[in-house]
Amino acid sequence: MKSMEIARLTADGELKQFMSGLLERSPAQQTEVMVTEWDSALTRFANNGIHQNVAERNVSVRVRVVKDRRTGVASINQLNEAAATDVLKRAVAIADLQPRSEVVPMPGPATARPVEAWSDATAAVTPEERADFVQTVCAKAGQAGLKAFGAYSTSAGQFAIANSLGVFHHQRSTQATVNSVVMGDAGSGYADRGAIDVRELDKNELATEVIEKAQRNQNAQPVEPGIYEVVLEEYAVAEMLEFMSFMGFGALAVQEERSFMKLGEKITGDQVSIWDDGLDRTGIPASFDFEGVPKQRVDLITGGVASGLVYDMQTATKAGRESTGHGLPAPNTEGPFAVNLFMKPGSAAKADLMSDIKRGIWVTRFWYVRVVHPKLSIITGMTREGTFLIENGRITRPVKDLRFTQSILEALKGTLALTRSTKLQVSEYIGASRVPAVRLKAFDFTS
Amino acid sequence: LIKDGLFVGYLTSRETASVLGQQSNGTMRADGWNRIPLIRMTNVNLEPGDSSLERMIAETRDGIYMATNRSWSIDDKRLNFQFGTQLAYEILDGKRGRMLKNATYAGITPEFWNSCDAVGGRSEWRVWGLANCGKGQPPQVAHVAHGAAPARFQHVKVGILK
Repeated sequence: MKSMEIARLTADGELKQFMSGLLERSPAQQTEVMVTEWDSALTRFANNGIHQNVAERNVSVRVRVVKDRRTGVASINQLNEAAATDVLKRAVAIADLQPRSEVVPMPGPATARPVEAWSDATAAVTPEERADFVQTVCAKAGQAGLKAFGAYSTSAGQFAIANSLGVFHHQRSTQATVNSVVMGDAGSGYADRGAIDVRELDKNELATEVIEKAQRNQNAQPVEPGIYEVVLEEYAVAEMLEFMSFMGFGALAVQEERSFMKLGEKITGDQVSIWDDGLDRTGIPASFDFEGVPKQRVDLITGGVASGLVYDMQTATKAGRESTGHGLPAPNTEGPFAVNLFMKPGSAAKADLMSDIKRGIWVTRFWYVRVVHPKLSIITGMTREGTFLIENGRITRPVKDLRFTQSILEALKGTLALTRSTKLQVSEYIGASRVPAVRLKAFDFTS
Repeated sequence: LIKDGLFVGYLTSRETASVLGQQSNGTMRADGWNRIPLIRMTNVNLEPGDSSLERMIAETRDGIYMATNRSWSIDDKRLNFQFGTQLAYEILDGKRGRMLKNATYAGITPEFWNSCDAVGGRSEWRVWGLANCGKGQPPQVAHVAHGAAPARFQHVKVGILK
């Protein structure tokens, strides 16, 4: 029997009534209430079989109050009158205990452009449908004498924010993501997909990619560390962009003088343009941020030149300008975050990226990337699940995974080609990037 | 886990201990009611030795005193690692010298630990905590803590900038 599992989210009217009631009841000078509700499920598989199913339905109500230049924040996971009374009381009590200090200003009302981030198909996915997808990957891996591992998750949720200055924004969204590692006796492959609409995830395409990668990546032998010309697949490019965002695209990093961004200066190769656009439906769109400010597109690097930063209310106030709609829940120490990243594609076909590389390395993805030097944009990490030697324009053999320690800007200065196709890469943490695969002149593998 | 340099035991759960024919040593943790417990290295400690930071520095002709870590990267087999520090000092002819900026060290886990030739005593042993150790999918965050005294390692690769 096919089980029913349709996303259960609180009705819009009920949600708005709860938030308005809470704001009206608040004794503080300014109050903000943020509600995040989600209904999600995850099917995990290992050794060619499902071994775990988890599902979660939950809500978070976060209240920020400002009283006499004192801020208090409290949260609760219920949507009823008693919960509203309790969370308000605690937020006010916390504010009363704080020293007076600079307050992160709340925005006033502004129109946010609606975005299409919802799919009925994703919201209605059943455990059987997840199992069917996983079964295809596992069966194909088994037929190839390999073992498949991974996780397939679907979620539906809503996010709403309101404040006592008149802001009210609300958005519903869905997401489906699947990742898989396929292992043989002497090596493994990797592939993942993410989309708003679950129907865009193609089980056969994913299975083919990860199995072929695993088959090609058996019995890898070491290669000498050093500086190589590289092809980075979209998985690696997206991670590089995420780290650029983490280290330097936010205005706080610049105001605190720890960013690599030097506005108006050439910082990468001409072919590199990167922007943030929460309204672009080819990403994972969001029409407003966690402070209730409508999202604006921000060009971050244009033709190699550092051209813009993302702002939240705190950094915008300090800079005497408007927030671009990139705030995290305030107050926070992280500052604004670019989470809807795009990299301009080029004109190359992916297979042609290596066609005239004499000796280089093909990288499928990175692993455990960490910041070494934020001002110089230096990161370190390992390659994983598909590192290959390129000789005379073609892949000749798999190589053992390598550690790289590399300035991202220096690497992008040597951008030689980008693919015309792009891939949507949903972040493990927050947001998503749509990126091409790239060919770079020099990349430093340090061990 | 490791006794006199030999690997002798695993952190286990009831599930993994049964595979090994053992009893669980109780290392499963979850970060909330809505997460499945995972094995976490919440209380892994280095036994104190009989040296001291002062003595280790005095015995070192050419080295670096890495005081505080700030970044960690390690491969999926937990072998190839590279760590960055917040604070480090040059050691020259048995004396602590100038402060070093952005010092890093790297190695292969068993080679690194096999090169350990001195560990500080109990008076320098303390518990070092980390509040945001991540693991799992969906991600879970755990508080972890490791007791250690200063220790010395020989022939470690340091620095990455050319």
